[in-house]
Order: sequence, then C-alpha cells, then structure tokens
Amino acid sequence: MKRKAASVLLMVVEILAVIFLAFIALKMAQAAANQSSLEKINLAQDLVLSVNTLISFPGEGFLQYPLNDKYNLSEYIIYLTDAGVTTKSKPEEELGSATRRLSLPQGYTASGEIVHKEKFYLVKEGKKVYLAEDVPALHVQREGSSAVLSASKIIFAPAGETADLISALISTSLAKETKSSPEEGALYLFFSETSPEDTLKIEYSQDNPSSQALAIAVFNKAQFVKKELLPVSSLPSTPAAVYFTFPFGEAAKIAIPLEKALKETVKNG
Amino acid sequence: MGEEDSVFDVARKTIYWTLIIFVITMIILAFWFTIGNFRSKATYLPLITKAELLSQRFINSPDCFAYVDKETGQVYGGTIDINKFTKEKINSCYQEDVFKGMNFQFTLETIGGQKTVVKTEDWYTKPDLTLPPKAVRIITGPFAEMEGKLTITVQEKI
Repeated sequence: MKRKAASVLLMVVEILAVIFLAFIALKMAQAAANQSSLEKINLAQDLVLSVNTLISFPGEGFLQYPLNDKYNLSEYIIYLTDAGVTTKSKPEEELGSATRRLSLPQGYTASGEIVHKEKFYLVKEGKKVYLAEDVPALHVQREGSSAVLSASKIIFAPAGETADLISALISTSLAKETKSSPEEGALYLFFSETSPEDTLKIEYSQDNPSSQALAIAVFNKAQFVKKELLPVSSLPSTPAAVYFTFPFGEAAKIAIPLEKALKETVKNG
Repeated sequence: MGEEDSVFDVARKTIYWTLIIFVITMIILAFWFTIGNFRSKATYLPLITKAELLSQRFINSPDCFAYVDKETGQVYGGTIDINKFTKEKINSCYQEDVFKGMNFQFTLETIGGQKTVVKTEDWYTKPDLTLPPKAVRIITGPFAEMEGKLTITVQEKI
C-alpha cells in the first residue's frame, strides 16, 4: 500500500517536473521570439552609432530619429547618459532593457530621456549631446558669422539602419568641401526609406538648384557604377532630387569610396 | 526483507533524481545559450561599421586630431594637426578611464614614407581589423601642410 502511494506520488512529481520544464522552455522561446527585445538592442546600438557620428561632426547638428514615418518608437523609453544608451519598454523594466555603452571625448556630456514618443531628435550643441522631443533651433557659428539653423535646412537621418549614418558623414564632407554654409541651405543629403526590394534609397537634393550643379557618384560594393549630374530644376522653389539605390547592408563598404568620389566630384565642379 | 527493499528503493530514486535534475539543468542551459546565440546573430553589427564610425572623430573633430584655424575657429575635417597627433590627445579624445570596447593604433605616413605611430593605452600586439587607409592633409604649421595617409588598425577589447 505504502509502495503504491509512493509510486503515485513519484508520478505526480514527474508530471509536475515535465510541466515546469515545458513552461520554462516556452517562456524562454517566447522571450527570444519577441521582436521587441531585438528591436531594443538594435535601437540602443543604432543610437550609440548615431552619437559617435554626431561627435565626429565638427559643428552643431541634429538627427531626426527615425526620419521615416513607417518606424514608430512610441513603444519605447530611451535614456541617454554619459555611460551609454538604454532602451526599455516600461519604466520599471530592468531585466528586458538593452544597454549599449558609449565613449565620449573628454569634456563632452550626453543626456536625455524620451518616453513613448514616435520620433525624437538627437542634438549636438557644442560639447553637449542630448535627446529632444521637439525640433531644436541650433545656433551655428561659421567663419565669423552666426545664424540659426531652422528645421528644414539640415537633417541627418538615421532611420534604424546603420547605412543612414553615412549620410551625416557625407553631408558634412560636402558642406566643408563646397564651403557652403548650412544657413544658405545649399546642401543636405538624407536617406528617405528602405524600399521593398531590400535596397536603400538615397535622396540627394538642393534647396536652390540654380546655385550649384553638383554630381553624385555611385558605387556598389566599392565598384564604381555611375556618375550623374544633379538635375537642375527650372523653378527655383522646386527642390531638385536624384535617387540611387544600394543593396541594403552594403552601405558601410561603399561609404568611404562614395565619400571620396563626392569630394572629388565637388572639387572638379 | 521488505525493509531492505525499501532502503534500496530510496537509494535508487535518489540517484535517479540527481541524474534527472542534472540533465534538466543541462537542457535548460543549452537552450538558454542557443537563444543567446540567436539573439547575438540577429543583432550583430560588423566590427568595420563600428570602427569606421567611431574613428571618424579622430580626423574630423577639433577635440581630436583635426586642425583648427586659431584665427577663424574653422575646423578642417580630414586633416591631422601634427601637434595633436599624440597619445595624450588620443586619451582625451577616446577616454581611457571609461568603456571603450575597441583599441586603436594610428599609423600616419607622409608621402616621403616617414611613419609616426600612436596607439591607445591598452593596445596589444594582434590587430583584428585594418580600416582602409584615409588620405589626409598633415598640418605641420600655420602655412605648412603635406599630403599623408592615415592607417587605423583596430582590435576589439578583450
């Protein structure tokens, strides 16, 4: 009788153990399959790269994050500190938060908190990098003159894709090479969207096309593909634009030759 | 006889459960590592991307090697002020006492082939990656400059 009771008890314990194991495995699999947790990591990673890019920029500027309306970050809470970027879904969440660390140059500070906003701005003002909910008005000092940068003049736009960061570098190089100041609205370059064909589309435009005719060279996997002049619009108020596509994920490889080609093209007129 | 059976039964079950607990723990750990591995792969960022974007500050930022015109305050990106090309500058531009994640070694080469090497504090011998060399202008004085090449080698910190 005793043996029978013990055997039943053992069976119950075994069933409970199996249920417990299945429950743990299910929870782990659910956590892994949860896209939000991966997005949090990618978001933190991307923001750290964005901060690094902004720090490389010698002047003042900001990134609208994300530029593309199809990305919505209202699910997340983002903290920026000198130590790094932390992304969470809820304020109290510690276990599922993602943190990526930063190394700022001496004297620089990073700060800010964005809570459940669809988009926000990452701003660099002097040695201060911060998160802002609204479009910042930046005071730029250039060759002795100062001016206020308005929202439409210069936008560096990471949209959750690493490649977007390259735009900031290229536009910085171009602005320097052409000696055009952002307040003149001569140049800006941004990525607009990732197309369904898994390519990255770059839009390069000028506010005032008649002021300068610029060319853009296109590289694919570091191989030269084509070079085209920026179309000049007859109507001064119509922005000229030219579109190119790159295979997604190749932007890092093409960034250096592209930047070089753009500089050379601008130099040669 | 019955008592002896019961003693053996208890001993057998203890061994059985010890083994089962061990196996279950191993299965959970293996599953945990598999998921962690999947997550790392899904969020993987190539070292070249991280290194390239991080290293841009060295030649573009006035707080690193970039030349600054003292009169106008204009920063010249893509230049290297030779007076700033020192270990102390690297340490302030890419701080030693905070997290870095990567070590850098910079080899600045003039057209004549003269090389100057500076590296971050924790650099050890084996590099993980060499970034494509960058053509830079080396500023040696107010009106003195020359063409040069900057090669950046990177190692992921261990």
